[in-house]
Amino acid sequence: MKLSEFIKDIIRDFLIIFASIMIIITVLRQIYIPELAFDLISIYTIMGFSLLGALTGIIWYTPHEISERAMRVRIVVHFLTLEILLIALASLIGVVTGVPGALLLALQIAVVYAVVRVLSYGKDKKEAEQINERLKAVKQEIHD
Amino acid sequence: MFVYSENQVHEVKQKLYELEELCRDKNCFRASKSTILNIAKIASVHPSLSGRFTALLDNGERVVISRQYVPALKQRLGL
Repeated sequence: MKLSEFIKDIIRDFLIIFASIMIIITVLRQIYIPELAFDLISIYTIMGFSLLGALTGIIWYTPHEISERAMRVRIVVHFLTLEILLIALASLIGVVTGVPGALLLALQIAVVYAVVRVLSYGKDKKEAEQINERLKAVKQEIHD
Repeated sequence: MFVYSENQVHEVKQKLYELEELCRDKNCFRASKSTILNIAKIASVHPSLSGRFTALLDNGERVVISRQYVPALKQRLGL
């Protein structure tokens, strides 16, 4: 992937993450604490961490082809970076206080990360099955 | 740059993007930054845990298909 395309992806990811967080928080506040107003510092904090979250995408960037093993190492690095960022954000805005809370959040992040990976793998598997079916048909056409 | 045929390996002077252009009307597609594959020589495609795809070729060799080039393969296959 070209660097310019990669930067576009990072910006797109930042906007998606920021918009998603804002929408979710707005809806939850509307339901549970409608009297509480958004303050500017909270919005800037969420904006900052959305940008940091999107910037973790840099871990995936590579100008050259890399091995499967190197890709798996990057997955681990990406996961650990997200864990640190999200726990830091939660501590900063006061959602998590103390070690047990941080450990519970770390576990929740790990579960969500694993679920996303498994779902993504399942989607890829279906896509590969479709491709393989078409490959068989194309090869058959070529041989006939 | 090397071209792998059934029994031989040929060194060619063209750059990969030039070969890509030359092979546009054949059964070939860009599979990664460094590879062009002949669709007719792919036995099957498998997903990997890293989010990429691996093509198993008729000669038993495995080649990575980058995620960004999967849509191109699907388009070539009419999917």
